[in-house]
Amino acid sequence: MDKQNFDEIYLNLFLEETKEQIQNMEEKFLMFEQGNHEQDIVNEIFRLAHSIKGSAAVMEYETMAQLSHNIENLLDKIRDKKIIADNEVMDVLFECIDLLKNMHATIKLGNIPNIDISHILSKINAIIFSAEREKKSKCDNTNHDVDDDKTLDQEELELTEEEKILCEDVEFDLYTYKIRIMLDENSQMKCIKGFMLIRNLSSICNIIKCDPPDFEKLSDNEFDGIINVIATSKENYESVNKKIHTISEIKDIYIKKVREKGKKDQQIENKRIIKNKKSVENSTHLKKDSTIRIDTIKIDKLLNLVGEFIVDKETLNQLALELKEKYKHEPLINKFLNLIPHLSYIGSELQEAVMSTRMLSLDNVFNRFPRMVRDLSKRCGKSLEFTIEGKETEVDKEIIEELVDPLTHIIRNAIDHGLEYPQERRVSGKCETGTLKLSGRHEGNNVVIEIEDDGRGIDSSKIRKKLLDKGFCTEDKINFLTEKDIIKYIFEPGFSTTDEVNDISGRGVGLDVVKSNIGQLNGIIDIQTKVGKGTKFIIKLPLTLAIVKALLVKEEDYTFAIPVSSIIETLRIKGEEINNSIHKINEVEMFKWRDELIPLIRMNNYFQTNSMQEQNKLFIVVVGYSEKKVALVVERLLNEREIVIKSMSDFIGKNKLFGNVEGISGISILGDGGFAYILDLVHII
Amino acid sequence: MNEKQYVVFTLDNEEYAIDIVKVYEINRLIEFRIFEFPKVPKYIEGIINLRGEVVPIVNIRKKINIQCESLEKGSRILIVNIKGKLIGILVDSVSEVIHLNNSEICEPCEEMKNKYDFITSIGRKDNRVIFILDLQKVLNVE
Repeated sequence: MDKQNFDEIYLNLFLEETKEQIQNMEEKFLMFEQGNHEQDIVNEIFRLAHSIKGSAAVMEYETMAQLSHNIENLLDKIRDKKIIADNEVMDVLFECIDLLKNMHATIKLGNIPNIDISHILSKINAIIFSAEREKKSKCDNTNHDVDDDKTLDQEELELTEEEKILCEDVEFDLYTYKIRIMLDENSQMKCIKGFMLIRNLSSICNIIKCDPPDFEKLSDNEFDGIINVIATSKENYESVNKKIHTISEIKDIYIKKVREKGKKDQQIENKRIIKNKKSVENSTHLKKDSTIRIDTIKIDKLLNLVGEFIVDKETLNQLALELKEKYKHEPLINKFLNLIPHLSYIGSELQEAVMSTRMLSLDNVFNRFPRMVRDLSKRCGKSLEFTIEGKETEVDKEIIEELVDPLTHIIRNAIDHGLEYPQERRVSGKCETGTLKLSGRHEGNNVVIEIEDDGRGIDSSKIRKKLLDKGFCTEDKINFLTEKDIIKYIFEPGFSTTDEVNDISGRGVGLDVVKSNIGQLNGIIDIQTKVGKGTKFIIKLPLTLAIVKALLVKEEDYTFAIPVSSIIETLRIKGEEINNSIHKINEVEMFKWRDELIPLIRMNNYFQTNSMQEQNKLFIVVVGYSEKKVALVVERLLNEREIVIKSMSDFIGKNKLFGNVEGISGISILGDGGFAYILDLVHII
Repeated sequence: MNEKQYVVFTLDNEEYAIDIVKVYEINRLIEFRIFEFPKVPKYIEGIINLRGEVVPIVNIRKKINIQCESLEKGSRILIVNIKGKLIGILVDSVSEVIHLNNSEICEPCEEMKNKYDFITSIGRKDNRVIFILDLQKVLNVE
């Protein structure tokens, strides 16, 4: 490997790590802003900023390192509660995140991020400066909670430089105290008291430094009664205090917790090798699960190979059946055939395992929305509560990438149009803060994503008016449409009921793109809305598996494949039954299935083949999803097997080579070299 | 760089040419079984299995309205790569690869441009007239 490669590897590593860290930091900022001020969160944010600073410095991205350093400073003050994180501070912090994202993007494109950060730096410094000024004027000096004892000025009880060095190797799960005890001048036996004090303290503390160092050699005349101690302990403030009080005649005690007990690594200005090693160890401990990053090219290659293996496996299965028929008494053949089921099993497991490597949790899409919602609601002047459910739901990687745009659009719509302004909500008796819920879950072989708001709802009368005004529909036609049909018009290109266009929405190019995006994923989008109550968008996507189990059926010379997951039942009816179960209304045929009357579609009609239909015997496959069902009449049932789906979206569609072939969504290459056309049930039904 | 290479093929005794860069492969029709595809336009003969890939076969005669006869045994499938997709076109025969420089290429006349917009230019070499095609226009590939 040449040097070039190494640099690239490190660069990629840097980009991936910092991307995660920046994202993480943003999430934690949001949590912090919403009132979660737990020490854990603050420490985590600090650790992230520090990591980014370190990596940026190593990669020689000076501006990035500098920005991170300043973020660290600001966070440090917030952590020590010297600065309160109000709106102004949070905005500055979010601005920093945006700058970091900017720099990251610049680096990814191969350039050096030399963005001018003086603006943000001065903001940060202004905040820090004003906070310090306030503090100095207050004469405030407490850094611990117990206010029993008097306290000294801050500076006196701070660690001196040399004391800091002494304290560096303190284990991180201990508190560090600087204690000053003043014994009563007039008390007898001060030295002995001092000695006893130190001995008692030692029982719960580790004494790092003590002044005077040795009481045994001291005489009462020399000793002024002031003892300075630096000690570390697992115990908290109160216990230390109590222990000291065991000695009588103490005039004053001053205790200062100079270092918090830290669960994670504490940051100290002095960079010593030992400390740095500790921080590296700690951060690796924090990685919760063991993962590795893989190039998607490698996974796709695996997937292709698995796909081909499946095809061959199926052929083997077929051959095995035929061989079994022919040579059932040959022991050698039987031995050979015994291997086949196991091979089959391995094939299926392999397929499932590789498919699952491509599955990512919806969180990868959902995680960008909290920030967007926050910014957008501020900009629009609306107040809302945003909840996310089901982000662990796993979905194929391709779907994740395609979902970003449609979901972004729908959420923007909800905030911009759906939710009302606080006053409006108050007037209609709703709580001023609106709710917006984004949820995902598995349902059968589908992924269902819902976006629900409790806003204005969609007014079908407004749409009706717009349809007439813009000439989408004529008067008489409109009267035939149901309310649901009318509302579906919002997915038409060029349609928007807002009168003003802003950069968020209103141009009327949004929802139709959403619908086609979802369509490309073979999914469907539906709306449920009620005026005054709210709107819910429901997106259903098939868990696109490139390999599915399907039933092969024959129609004339064509072989069709029906995904088993959509099959409800297969039947054979003959003679009298045919007349009893099939009924004709106008030109539409219906089939009586169990207690329902469902539409009947004859495959030869639908696909315009020329096959002859046997009059006495019919094969029927009942297919469907959710509540919609259809009975398909096929010429012959073949067998059930696993097929590898090859999409035909390149050629099937309006303006494409094949035109709009309704009913076929993909093709599979069968083991014998032929093709099976995969039925597109969404369109058939 | 004023010379380009073209693959020349014949349809109904007329010569046509396409940019060699677009040509992926040339195969004999008899090596493949064309599977029909339901509900497609007439000029789509069907699809073939090209070593694991699904390639549609276009009967170019039907597409550009040349008189069509039944498929000859000697016909060739010219597989072209358009925008990353492989498409096969049925031609009578593939004759050669020729070099044409700027002087040997001229613009089609107005009437031709209107009626047959897929003919981008006309090549003239050794008394031959060769119609140079823009496949993207012929096949309506976006």
